[in-house]
Amino acid sequence: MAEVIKVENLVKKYKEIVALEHLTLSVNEGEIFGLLGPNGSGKSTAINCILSLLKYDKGDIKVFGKKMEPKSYDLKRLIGVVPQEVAVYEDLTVQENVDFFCGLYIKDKETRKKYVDEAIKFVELDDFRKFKPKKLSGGLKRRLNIACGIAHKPKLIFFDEPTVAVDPQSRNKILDNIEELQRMGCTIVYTSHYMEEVERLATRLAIIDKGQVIASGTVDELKKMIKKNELITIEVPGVAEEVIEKIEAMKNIFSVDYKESTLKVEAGEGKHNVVDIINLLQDNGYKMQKIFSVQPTLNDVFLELTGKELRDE
Amino acid sequence: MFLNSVKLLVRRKQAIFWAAIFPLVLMVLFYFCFGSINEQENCIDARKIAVSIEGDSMYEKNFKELLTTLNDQYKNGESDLDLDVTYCDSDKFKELFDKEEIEAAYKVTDGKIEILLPARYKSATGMIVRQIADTYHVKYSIIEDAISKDPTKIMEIADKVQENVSYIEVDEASSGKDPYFWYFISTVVMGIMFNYMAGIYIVNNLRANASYEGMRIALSPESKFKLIACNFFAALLVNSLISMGHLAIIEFVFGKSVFAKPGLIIVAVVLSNAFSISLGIILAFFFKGNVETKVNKSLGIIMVMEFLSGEFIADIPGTIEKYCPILNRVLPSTVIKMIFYRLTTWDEVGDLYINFAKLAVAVVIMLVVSAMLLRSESYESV
Repeated sequence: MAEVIKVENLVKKYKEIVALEHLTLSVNEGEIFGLLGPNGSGKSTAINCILSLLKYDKGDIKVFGKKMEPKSYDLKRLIGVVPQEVAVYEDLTVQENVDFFCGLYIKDKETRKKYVDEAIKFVELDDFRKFKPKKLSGGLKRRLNIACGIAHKPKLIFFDEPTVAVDPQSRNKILDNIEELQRMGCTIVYTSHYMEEVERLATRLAIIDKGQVIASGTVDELKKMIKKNELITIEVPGVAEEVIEKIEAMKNIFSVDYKESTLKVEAGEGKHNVVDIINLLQDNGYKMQKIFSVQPTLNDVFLELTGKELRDE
Repeated sequence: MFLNSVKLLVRRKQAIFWAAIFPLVLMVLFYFCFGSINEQENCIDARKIAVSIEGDSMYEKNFKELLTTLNDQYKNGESDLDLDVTYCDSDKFKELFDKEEIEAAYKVTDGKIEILLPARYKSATGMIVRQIADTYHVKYSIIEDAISKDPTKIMEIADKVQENVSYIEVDEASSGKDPYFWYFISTVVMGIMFNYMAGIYIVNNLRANASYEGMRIALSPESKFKLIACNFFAALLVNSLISMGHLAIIEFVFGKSVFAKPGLIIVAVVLSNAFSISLGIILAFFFKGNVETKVNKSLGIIMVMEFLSGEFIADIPGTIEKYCPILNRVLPSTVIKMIFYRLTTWDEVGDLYINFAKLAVAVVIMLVVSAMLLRSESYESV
């Protein structure tokens, strides 16, 4: 599969602060590539360098096999961007906004009219064509933001947290749109803090922290990278301290927590973790009420890899 | 792109308010406050004065002769000094003042002139009667002195006494325009200066680190030069039309002639708007913050310029001329006002072409700087 984006050893410094430290990643044609990282990890800096908005100190960036530079107008024509903030003109209507931004790429009036219509229909804003953005709800504004970014039919689209502050219905619609764009052949780079979105959408993803890619691969591949493989929860009253110690001593067990008749056990990869714990409790005469086991989520992967300390402080 | 830029500009309510509506409101206020003053001054009756000559010396006789001559000259249309002289006894002065039949009175006796002037007439009339009396007194003293030295020249000097009588010109408008015309011109220029906002919006539109819309535009394949040109010329067109609209309103609604030199007026409108737009572009780079912050901070600078150029107190440029004349030569708002004032009054060319040259040089420099600032396509931070 062809590489649409190839970033090698990218270094970007803001005076003394190193924002990107030898960042390397690649995005393949037709995939949805998730870019995750805590606040200040370097995601936005990386994207802005790829888009040639930011000057960088070292490294190499290729898009569609060509070096990306500020004057790479032929490459810019193939790229669409949906920024984190709603980037539209409050004084223009929905249709005028889409037409304005599409007009930067498509000069032929007939073609542009067709594209603008298609983009508006794609995000289901047909009934709001004459509305100004201030009259639209948060979700509708987000959809307008997307329409402005995709109207010119780009081959590579950057979505930077496109679902911030929208209700679940609008979010679902936006995610459907992104999946539809992938089916239409677009390559998508998607950043978000909502892990379940990335888990649903991403073909592959990379987790960036402190300006470096600390993990990359498919969601399943990343889940396998972390030690904690499952969280076992058992409701069982009156478990003695020596039984808890025996569970802690079992193979693949990382931690045991027993509070208010609920036993929570974090376990590593192992085929019989649940069965082994149940057998131990039964052998000691305990009657269990509820038993369930949860596989790790992308959120667990993210927190384990990037740590739990706050990043905005 | 050009049409979209025009569309965006005319829908910016804040910019349109400051550049188009606010100056118009001020002009309407000026018109209703001062618009009829000139007509009132023109139809004022002659200044009525009473004269009491008590004594028959040469001093008293000659003063009477002088006033009679001035009165006759006015009636014959030979002089603008509008005096209607009544000779009476000084005992009648009080009665005439009470009936408001006279504005001032002279009591001439024993080689001196006493002026009686009610407080309400102390301005123009007061200045005129005082000036006549002072001038006469000085001239008479000269004659007396001359007679004592060379009696043969008495007739020659006496003939010149009346010719040399001068009076203060009350009307400040040398060209026949009313003094409030300055306020109309000043307000048009204020509207032009407020067009700096268009420059700030251009930066906001085109710079990825100024707005998200700017980021979107910066990422497009459209050439930066074309984007700058479209935005700049759209702003120049819209703002120049607004300024021409203001001038047209002054001409056709308020009835004050401003299009005596239409070609040069258009050049002045275009140049001064180009200046204010490019000033806005540079200010947008100078100030940090979002577009509203930049507009507000820049507004402070523009208001100071407007104040110094006499928008609010017309005497300010005169005071500056006395203490720091260089400021009047370089302050853009004053230079632009002087260009428009000269173009619309046109009695004297004065420093018109020097000011035109200064403005043209400033526009070229600022446009070059603006274009250089705007053309950069990658950023230190976004």
